[in-house]
Amino acid sequence: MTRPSKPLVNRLLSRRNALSAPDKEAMRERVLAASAPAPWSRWLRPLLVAATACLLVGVFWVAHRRGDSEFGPRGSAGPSLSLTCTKTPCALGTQLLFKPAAATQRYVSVVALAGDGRAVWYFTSIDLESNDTLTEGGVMRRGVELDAAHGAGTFEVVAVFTPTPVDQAQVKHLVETQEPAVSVVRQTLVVEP
Amino acid sequence: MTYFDDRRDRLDAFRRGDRAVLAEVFEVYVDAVTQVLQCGFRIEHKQLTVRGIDDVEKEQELTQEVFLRAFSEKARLGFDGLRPYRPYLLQITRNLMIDEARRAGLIQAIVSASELEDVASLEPSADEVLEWRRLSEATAEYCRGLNAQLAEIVRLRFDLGLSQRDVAKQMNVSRRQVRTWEEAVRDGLTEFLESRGPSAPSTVLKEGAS
Repeated sequence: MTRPSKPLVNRLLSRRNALSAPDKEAMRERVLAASAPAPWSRWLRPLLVAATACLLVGVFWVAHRRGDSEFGPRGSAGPSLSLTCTKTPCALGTQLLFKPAAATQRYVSVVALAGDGRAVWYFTSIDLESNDTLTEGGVMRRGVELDAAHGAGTFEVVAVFTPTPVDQAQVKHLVETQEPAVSVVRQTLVVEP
Repeated sequence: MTYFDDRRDRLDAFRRGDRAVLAEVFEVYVDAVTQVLQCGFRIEHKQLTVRGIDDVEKEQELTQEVFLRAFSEKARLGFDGLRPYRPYLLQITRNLMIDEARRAGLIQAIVSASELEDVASLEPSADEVLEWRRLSEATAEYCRGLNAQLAEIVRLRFDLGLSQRDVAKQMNVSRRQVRTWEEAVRDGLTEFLESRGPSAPSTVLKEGAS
């Protein structure tokens, strides 16, 4: 004996010999997916490609500029930190992105020191080996909004690479004592108003 | 009064392929399309009868195909909004049915587009009506034996046609739970119909095109 088909069973449960609500819903989605792709899917791919391209150009640009800086990494094998903003030049309203590279240390903490002695903590002990931390291009998924609270001006961005997680007080201590087990990288960041 | 009457904004959005408007057009006209596919039609002056699709799954496949054709960019831009949309859509439906019948070797006649505008709709045959009634009565019997939760799923999901999300909200359960209950109701009815005797068919019986 033949088994009743799923659409027929749906119709019987709907008590009308027409497209049932579940079948109608599923069919509508299939038709719309083919005829009118969701607005986000129409824009997402080109947007992602454009964003990735901008990011790569930015990272490349910063990496080249870093060569002029006295705070750049020493040697190619050591830890490094590249900074770039979603728009250049870095200004209030943009987002600051980070591309850290650690030689052996697993965690990085980053703080920006303003000219007036104020410290703006970006991250404390971010696990660089976690799958969620970096994009495939090595850029940190978390950026920092350069908002009014952050402020404009010239900052010294200090990245501290450590083998184990540390808190802010320990980071300060490590920077001051220059412990050999940790690596400290400094960068200059100018945020325009 | 049709969906596009005096609504230039709707027509423009439709022709642009606006998702919300396409979804509305689908809702408004889908039952009319399935009815033609189910019942078939007759072109009197050609003595040509195209019978309805006898397989529910095939009928749904063709319904989808009708809307895919009607919502293609070429068809959307080809609809001027001056004539009513329903006849335009049903013409696409009949065209598709003729293609299917010709592919199956059931008809050889050449039918022009204008001939598809003036057709007589067919009514379901007495056999079809009786078969549907028999299955409906069996379904009602099955539903009387459901527990309160499954009966509520039938009412909300199938009678009222709510989405799984809305049913979940209404019953204060997860969407996964709704899906599980929905499957349980469906599987239960399938087994119930299978156990009812030798004549339970997989489709609502119809004759082929002639």
